[in-house]
Amino acid sequence: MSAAPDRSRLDGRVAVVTGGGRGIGRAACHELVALGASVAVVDVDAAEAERVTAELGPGASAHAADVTDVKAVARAVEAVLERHGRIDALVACAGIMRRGRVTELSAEDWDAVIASHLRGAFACVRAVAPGMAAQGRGRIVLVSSVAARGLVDHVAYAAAKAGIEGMTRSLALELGPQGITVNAVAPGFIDTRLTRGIAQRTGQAWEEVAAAAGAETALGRIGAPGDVAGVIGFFCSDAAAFVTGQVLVVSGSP
Amino acid sequence: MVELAGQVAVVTGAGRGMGGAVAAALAARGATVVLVDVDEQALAGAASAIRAAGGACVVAPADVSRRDEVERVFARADEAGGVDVLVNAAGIAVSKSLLEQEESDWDRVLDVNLKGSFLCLQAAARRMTGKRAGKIVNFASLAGLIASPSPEIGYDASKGGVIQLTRAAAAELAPFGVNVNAVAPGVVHTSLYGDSLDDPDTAREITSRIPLGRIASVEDIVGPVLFLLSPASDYVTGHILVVDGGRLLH
Repeated sequence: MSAAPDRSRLDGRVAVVTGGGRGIGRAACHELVALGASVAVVDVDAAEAERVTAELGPGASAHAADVTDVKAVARAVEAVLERHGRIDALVACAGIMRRGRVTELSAEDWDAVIASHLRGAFACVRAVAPGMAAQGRGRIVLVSSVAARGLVDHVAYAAAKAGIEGMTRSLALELGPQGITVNAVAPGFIDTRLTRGIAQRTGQAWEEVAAAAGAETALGRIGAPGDVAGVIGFFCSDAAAFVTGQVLVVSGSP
Repeated sequence: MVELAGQVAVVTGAGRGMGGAVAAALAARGATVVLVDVDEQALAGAASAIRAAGGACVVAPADVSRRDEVERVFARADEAGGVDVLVNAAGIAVSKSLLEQEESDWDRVLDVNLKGSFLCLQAAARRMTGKRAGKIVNFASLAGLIASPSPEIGYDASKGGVIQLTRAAAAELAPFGVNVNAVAPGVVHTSLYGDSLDDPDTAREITSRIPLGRIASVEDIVGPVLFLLSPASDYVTGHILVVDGGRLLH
């Protein structure tokens, strides 16, 4: 039977994904391409951005930029506009984590973590919002974490992610009248280099860490990057046209 | 596209409004939809529209607040091949504040909105846990999260109840591979609001508090429901997905 237009598709849309070189960002790139979008992969690591772009095929483009560098982000967005002509969605995944008790974490590490998430998201939103407003339509997806509720030995990361949630709500209020929705995903324990790095630093076998973390979830498993990417794809689509200012927890638990 | 060929979906409140639109969307994606509503005439209309579009459905009139009637609905679903999806969209409202509400108003609203959701959730869960798979979406409401300027005390309390029913059921059913989530719509163009949205002043007053600057259409709610029934949300459970154009932020 003939169905109504599928509002979950992204055919003809252009999405920018920061931190697209690996982990959740890379999975988001693949999901958005699978939904029909053209994707611009932004990463501080040029080689990783190129590698993912090659995986995605001819519709994709690679852009090296440090998201904390406002001018570099503006230049990358210019390059995306030149290559793709428009930007319909921004998915801001870039960000780092530094573990350490509050008495041990250096002020430099604090600054680096906060800057990568908050200054990074700020710079990216600033660069894409005017174009989206001119189109009267846009989708912004930020990446929080269940750590925003509090995570032992990760004070800077938790603060940064809580900051992302405040940004999400403020930007939804500010940009909604221009037709731009702003939402966030809040992943739980996801199998990425970031979480594997924690296991490595504590000297535990990854399989044991993953099994223990999975057992802590209601669904009984840790998440895959694709689990988060599916939600990001929804937020970028017309199926989520009336959803804004929301933080969607993707953790396998209520 | 959410592909649901071969699946059986029970949708309550399927005679009209959001339940009706969800039922039609699921049928369009290949599911056999068990249509549940207390209004048999509305149900017949919904069924013929689905069949005219080439979809498959089973008509199962029932009052969801009555266990015997709910059991009959699920027996029909069993005959259709078992329950893969439940959407609890049946709901009523009595527009009376705390000071005005009769005890009978309260009982009726709580019976349909909260007990009805529980009875259907329990009947579906007993079947889904056996096959260790299933997706359930409840209809909460913004009225279950914030104090409404025009309180419908029983309705607001019932939707608050649906929210916690969703979270508790999600925790209990997750080990069985069953996801339970809810959508929480704000104001939507449906018959639940009668013709009050036709009044320009009322519509303007509501819209002024919504950052996206408009009142939701039924389709705005269908998209999020389909997402919560799709593999894209496999790692999401117990979530209350607010679909309000940003109203909650005000």
